[in-house]
Amino acid sequence: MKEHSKIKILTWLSITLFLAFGISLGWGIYEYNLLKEQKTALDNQYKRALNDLVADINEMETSMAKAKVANDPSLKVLYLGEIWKSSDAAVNRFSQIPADEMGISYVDKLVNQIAEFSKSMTQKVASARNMNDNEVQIFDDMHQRVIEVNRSLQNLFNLYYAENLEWVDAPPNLLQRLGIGKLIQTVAQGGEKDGDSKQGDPQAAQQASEQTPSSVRGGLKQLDSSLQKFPPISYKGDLDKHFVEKPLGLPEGEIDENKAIDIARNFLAKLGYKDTQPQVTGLSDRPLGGFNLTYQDVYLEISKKGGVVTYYRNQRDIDERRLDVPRAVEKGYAALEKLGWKNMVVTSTEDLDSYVLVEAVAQDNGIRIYTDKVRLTIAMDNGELIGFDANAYYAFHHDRRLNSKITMTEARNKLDKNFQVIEERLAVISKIGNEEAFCYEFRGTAYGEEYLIYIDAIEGAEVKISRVVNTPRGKLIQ
Amino acid sequence: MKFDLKDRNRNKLIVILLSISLFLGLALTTTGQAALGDRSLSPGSKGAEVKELQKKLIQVGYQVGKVDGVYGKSTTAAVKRFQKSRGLKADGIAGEKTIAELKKLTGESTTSAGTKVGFKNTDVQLLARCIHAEGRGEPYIGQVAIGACIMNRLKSSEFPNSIAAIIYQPKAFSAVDDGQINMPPDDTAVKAAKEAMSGSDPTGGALFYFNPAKTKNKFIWSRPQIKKIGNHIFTR
Repeated sequence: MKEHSKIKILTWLSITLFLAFGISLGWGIYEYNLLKEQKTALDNQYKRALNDLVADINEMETSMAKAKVANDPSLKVLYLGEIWKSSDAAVNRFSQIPADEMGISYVDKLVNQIAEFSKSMTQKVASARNMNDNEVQIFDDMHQRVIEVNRSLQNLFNLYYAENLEWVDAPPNLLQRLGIGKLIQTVAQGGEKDGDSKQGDPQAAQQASEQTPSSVRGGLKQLDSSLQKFPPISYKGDLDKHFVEKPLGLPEGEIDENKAIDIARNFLAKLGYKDTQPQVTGLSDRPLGGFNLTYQDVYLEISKKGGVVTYYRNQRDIDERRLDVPRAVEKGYAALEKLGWKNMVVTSTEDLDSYVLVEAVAQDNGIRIYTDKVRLTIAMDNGELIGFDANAYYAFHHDRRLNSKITMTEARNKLDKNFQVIEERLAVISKIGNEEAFCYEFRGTAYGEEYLIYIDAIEGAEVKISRVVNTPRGKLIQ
Repeated sequence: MKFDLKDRNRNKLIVILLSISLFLGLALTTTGQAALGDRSLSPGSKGAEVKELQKKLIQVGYQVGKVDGVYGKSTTAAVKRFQKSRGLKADGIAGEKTIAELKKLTGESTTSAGTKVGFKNTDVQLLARCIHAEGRGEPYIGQVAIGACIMNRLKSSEFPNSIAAIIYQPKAFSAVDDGQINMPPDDTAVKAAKEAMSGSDPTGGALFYFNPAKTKNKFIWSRPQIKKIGNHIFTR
């Protein structure tokens, strides 16, 4: 009897185990297939991006070759436009290919530069002006590099299909990490080495570019370092506007930490804070940088050169909204005046519920200097100025000799016939190519739309058009 | 007797049918036909109007959890937060004023002639999600700073040229790779995103940031550092 029940139990146990095994095996196979399917889908997307990238760069290179020799402006503009189009597409494709490190790439930069340059040249050639010798030289320099990029990319592409390269270098496996087995050092893996070669060691770059890459990304990096052997392109243009290397507007002299605290206290006192004890909690290393200070919810940055407050933000909780936007803007402007800012005009407001963001620009003899702007954040509970950002002002403000060569009437005659002018004035704006333009600004309507149109006050060309759209939170200038 | 019974049954049937149609009619007018704004909604309300209210709250940046058409705790809380920041009485009841304000803010942009031209803020949601996923628990300006880094990449020549391309660039953001980007952002992240998009930059031109306590990546440590905000070091 006992033996019998033992056998019974064992039989049932083995059946259960067998079933469990069968089910988990089935589940495993199912999951495996699912994963394979998804991996293939992803892989196909990457492949598509790489194929497109190679095609875009090739198209860009061809268009560049043609644009160089085109002599009729209409054809030159066409080829320049094609360069612009394919370079933009290439940048986008490039970002769809997996990287093992984020951003910063020479190829990206070169392609972006070319896009930018061809854009400004399109405008120039279209207005029936020729590219000057320097620009022709820059264009040729760019083309030489693109030939190189194009060739290497196509090599990599062939390699990818011939050898089934991985997208990124696999991290070292367990055995390799334990020091067993050979660890192949690629450029992509050697973060430091790569960083060194970026500093411009031509020999290292040369070596790096001669190794056979073990992944697509590794290959792109080698391409990057092989481009280091070229001297830098002299074109600066519109690039890297996010960082100002040489601020123009900081006052002379340098300050120390104690002085920074004084400046912060003084600044806060003008805004109505009493007996503040701001403390230096960090330094910021940039041309406009200096000391970072905090006091309760307040954060301030004060420049080392010139000792001015470039950034202030009070992060306090904001109570129930009690003001409307115009009243808040009024209060914010009054605070700005208390801080010693005269001759500023409010040019835009954005209602963000508990606070409003305001931009104010310098006005000099009726000329609006849009580049010299400050941003204000005003709390909607009591109208207190809770944010102030003068980075743009100190970066771009300088003495300008502004003399218009054409008259307002002459400028007005250059506008579209349907354009009804509402407001007109002189203004300084930033335009394509990181330069400033001294312009007549016309605000008006045409075709049921509101626009801002800028006519160069010296050369008379139409340089910029902005469309004005009414959003629920304020006017948006597109 | 038999006839009587039949008659009574018929009468019963008619009464039942009538009451069903009446009930259906009523139900349809309150749920199907009613649009947001016809009546005030309060905790406990249910139906399509509540769903619409919830969608609009999310659109302006106030999370309500699941859009389920039930005016529950989280919807009440979201309404209260919205009311507070719009200067309305923060009672958690979506009355006439609250709904009108919500409708205004979620409306489309228009040209000067009044033609509708879309919402013009499509990137805010994505940026807010990225900020929320990457910078939860950071101080407010730390969150604006993360948004500013992305906006700076847009202006830099070494990065792609659209917000989506920057955020979804493979391996660019850990929160994108592990799926945290799909979490709904909170009010703060949405505000920070709007502020960064309109040009605020507390970092002074940073492109990267990292948490020094969690990162050993040599590349990121080698970037020229600008400053530290909260737990992040911001670099060029």
